[in-house]
Amino acid sequence: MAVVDDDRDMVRSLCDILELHGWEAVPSYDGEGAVSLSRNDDIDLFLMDVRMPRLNGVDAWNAIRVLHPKAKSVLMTAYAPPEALALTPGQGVVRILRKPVAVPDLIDALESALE
Amino acid sequence: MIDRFSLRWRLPAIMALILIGAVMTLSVLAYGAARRSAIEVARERLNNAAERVSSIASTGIANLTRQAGLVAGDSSVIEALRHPGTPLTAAAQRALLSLRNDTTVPLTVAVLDLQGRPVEGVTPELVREGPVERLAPVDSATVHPFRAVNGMLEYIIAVPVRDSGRVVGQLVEWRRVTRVTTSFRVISDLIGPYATLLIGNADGSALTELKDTLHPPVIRDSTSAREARNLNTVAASAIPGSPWAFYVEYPNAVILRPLRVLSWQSLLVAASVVVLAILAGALLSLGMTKPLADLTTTAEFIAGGDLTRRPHDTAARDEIGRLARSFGAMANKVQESRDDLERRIDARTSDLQTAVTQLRETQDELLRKEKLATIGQLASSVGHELRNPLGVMANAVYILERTIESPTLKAKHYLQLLSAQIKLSERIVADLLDSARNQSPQRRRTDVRSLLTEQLTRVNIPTNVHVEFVVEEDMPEIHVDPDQVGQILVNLFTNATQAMDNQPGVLSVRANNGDGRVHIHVRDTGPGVPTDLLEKIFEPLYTTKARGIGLGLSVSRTLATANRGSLSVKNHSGGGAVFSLDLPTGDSQ
Repeated sequence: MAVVDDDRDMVRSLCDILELHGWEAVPSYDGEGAVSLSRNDDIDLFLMDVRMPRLNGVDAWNAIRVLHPKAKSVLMTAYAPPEALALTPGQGVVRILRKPVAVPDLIDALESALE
Repeated sequence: MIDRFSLRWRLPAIMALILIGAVMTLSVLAYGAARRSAIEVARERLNNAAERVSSIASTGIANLTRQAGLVAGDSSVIEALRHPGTPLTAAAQRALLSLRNDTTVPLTVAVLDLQGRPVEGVTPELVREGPVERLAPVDSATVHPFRAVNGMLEYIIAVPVRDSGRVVGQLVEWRRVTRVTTSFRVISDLIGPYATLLIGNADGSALTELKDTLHPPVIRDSTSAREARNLNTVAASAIPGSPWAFYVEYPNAVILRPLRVLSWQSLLVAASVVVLAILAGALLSLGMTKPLADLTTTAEFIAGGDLTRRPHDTAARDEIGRLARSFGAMANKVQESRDDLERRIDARTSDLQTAVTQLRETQDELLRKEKLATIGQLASSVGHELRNPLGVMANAVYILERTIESPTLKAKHYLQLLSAQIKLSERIVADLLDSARNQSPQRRRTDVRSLLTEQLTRVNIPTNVHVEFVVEEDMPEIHVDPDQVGQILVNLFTNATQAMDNQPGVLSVRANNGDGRVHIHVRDTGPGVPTDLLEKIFEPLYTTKARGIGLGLSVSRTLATANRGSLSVKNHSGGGAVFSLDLPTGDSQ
């Protein structure tokens, strides 16, 4: 899976946590990076921040879905409530998490996405 | 003090001057007329008297000339003139002596020829002292004018002596006025004691006063001169058959005495009338000027600003009374206008003050909102920016907790401390973002009881705080945004709990319904709010807590207002603070 956030520390710490839980995580630090990662068919789950410079999480996710229709995502947002995003869980978005994300909630969301 | 320009004094003064002038003029005119009239009357009476005396005198003279005529016709007298140079015969002497038988005795009797020479031989008894003067011949009996001689009046009676109708000489008697006849005395008595009888020549010369005795007679100056001096009134009457006249003098003082008395009396009466008139004028003027003075004083007071002053003398039915009443009415109008104006000004001032107060409140509210909005923006961005680092820190702690093999107790403790502090920070950030959220309320019908219960469970209430929860039966639903009102309630509950500062106490939550609104009262048993801070605690960034950024109550009030409600605080008489949240019911919209 890919961990996408413009905060590098956040990306690394999340990657470490995911590895602790036995997952392989690929870091990416912007939306464009995430989209290019999606060309790799190995990556089918994106843990992605919504708010990023240039290409934001929602737009990046829409682009990824075009390239990689089977991919799923868990989005994280610190700002708008989930219902304000022009997205519904049905569009490959498994869950939208409010920041700060508690680790148990994160694990729970990822597990349900990988099922 | 007398004001000499005041009508009060001018009117009577003018009246007095006019009256005095009129009385004086009338008096002078009347006195002059009366005087003239009195003198005329007196003069007429005196004339009568003089005429009577004259006629008596005339008779006396006629007797004298007749006697002389008789002697002149005596043949012995005529004979004496026929032979000049021969002495008078005894017969002629006797005839001449007969003239002495009269009441008055002549001084001298003489017979003169045509040349005026006396005939010789007259007896000594008939000859006066001194030489016999020569006289021009006369052709009829002639009385000569008086002459003053040695202080006595003398006169001459001459009659012609005719011989066969021809004048041949004259018989002349020199006589002297020596006494007053009884007839004169009677007349004198009739005229009165003040009258003076005079005899003299008709031309006014050689006057003598007729008194009881004439020795010596007083020769007076001319009567016309005396009359000219206005001392006397003089009547004159010529004595027929002579060049003489009688004069009656009467003193004007006596004639005018009654008139004088009358004049004084009149003057007295006139003076009394003038005094009375002045008094009456003064009274009248006072009556007229007193209301005027009153009006003037009133006008001065009103001009000075005392609008309550009114004229006193308004009862009079004359023009001044009407003036006073009109003035009073005018003063009433003026006062009404001023009172009305003052009332209006007061009303306007009050309106203005209200407007200013409202304006100030609105301004304060605007400032508060602006402040809140600024803080909101700041809080929002700071909050979001803090969330990532906090998240990274939480992740780090999570990783450390799981990767450090057999950590020391101290490491464990500090990892827990970090974890707890990160959670606390996250909550503060969450609160901050909540408070900064400025959304329009999504109003819907909400049950009060369940809303209160739900929010109470969200607050961590210490076990030593007893919760008293009283909600009226049949509470109507409120029409609000339940999330926003929930946030208000959580704030109020949290504040109340913190106010009690871990001491045992009571958190009282009551809700009731009234006037189409729901009133929620949250009371604690803490120290209450200092009176001077009752409003201040609603200001943004104002806090009494050691921890807290002072947004809770200001956000709560903003939210209450946005939900058409209100939030206020007061101290309960039994201690602690009571926050009252009024909210609209579903019926009241």
